[in-house]
Amino acid sequence: MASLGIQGVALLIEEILGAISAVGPAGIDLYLKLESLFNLGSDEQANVAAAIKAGLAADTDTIAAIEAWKQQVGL
Amino acid sequence: MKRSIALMFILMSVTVACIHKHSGTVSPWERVNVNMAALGQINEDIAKGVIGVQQAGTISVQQAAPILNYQELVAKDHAAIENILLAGSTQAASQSTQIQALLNEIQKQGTALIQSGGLGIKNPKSQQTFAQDLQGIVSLASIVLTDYQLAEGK
Repeated sequence: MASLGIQGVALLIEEILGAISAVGPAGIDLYLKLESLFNLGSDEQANVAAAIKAGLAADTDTIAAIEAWKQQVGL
Repeated sequence: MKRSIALMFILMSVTVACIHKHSGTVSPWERVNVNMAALGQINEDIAKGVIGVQQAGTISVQQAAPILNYQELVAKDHAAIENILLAGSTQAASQSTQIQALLNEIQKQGTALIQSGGLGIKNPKSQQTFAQDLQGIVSLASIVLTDYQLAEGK
C-alpha cells in the first residue's frame, strides 16, 4: 500500500465501492471473501492456514458445482 | 457480471499492494498463500457465473462445457498446489518444480482455450467475451507464479 498516495487510495476505494454497489450480492460476497483474505493478522502461520483452508474450500465448491452441472446436462 | 469481472480485475491488479497486516510486514510466503486463495475463489465465482448463464439459456451446453472443463482443471490443479503448501514452506520448496508446472498448466491450458476462438462468444450480461473472463484466471495464475518465485528468492 505504501506505493499508493492518499489520492490513489481514495480513487481505488471509490472504484471498488462503485463496482461492488453495481454487482449485487454475488459480487459483495466475493469482495468480502477477498477482503477478509487481504487483511492479515499478526500470526503468519494462522494467516497461511486460513488462506489454504479458504482456497481448498473454493476448489471443493467449484468441482462440486461443475460435476452437478455435468450430471444435470448429461455430460 | 461486467461489474463482477471489473471488480475482479481491480482486485487482481492491486492485490500485490493491498494485502496488509495489522502488525509487521506481509511475508512472501503469506503473499503466495493469500493470492492462491484468491485464485481459487475467483475461479469458483466465474464457474458459478458460467453455469448460471448456461442455465438461463444464454449459451448452450456445448459452449459452456469447454469453459467449465478448464475451470475444473484449474480447481484440481489449484487443490494439488494447496495440498503441497499445506505441508509448509520447506516441503513446498522441495516440490517447487511440481508447483510451477501446475501453475504453468493453468496458464497454458487457459491461453490455448482462449486462442481456440471458441470463447469469442459475447456474454450479454458482461458485454465482453468469455475469453476475457478467463483471461483473469490466467493472469492471476501468473501473479501467483511470480509471487512464488519471489518467495523462493529467484
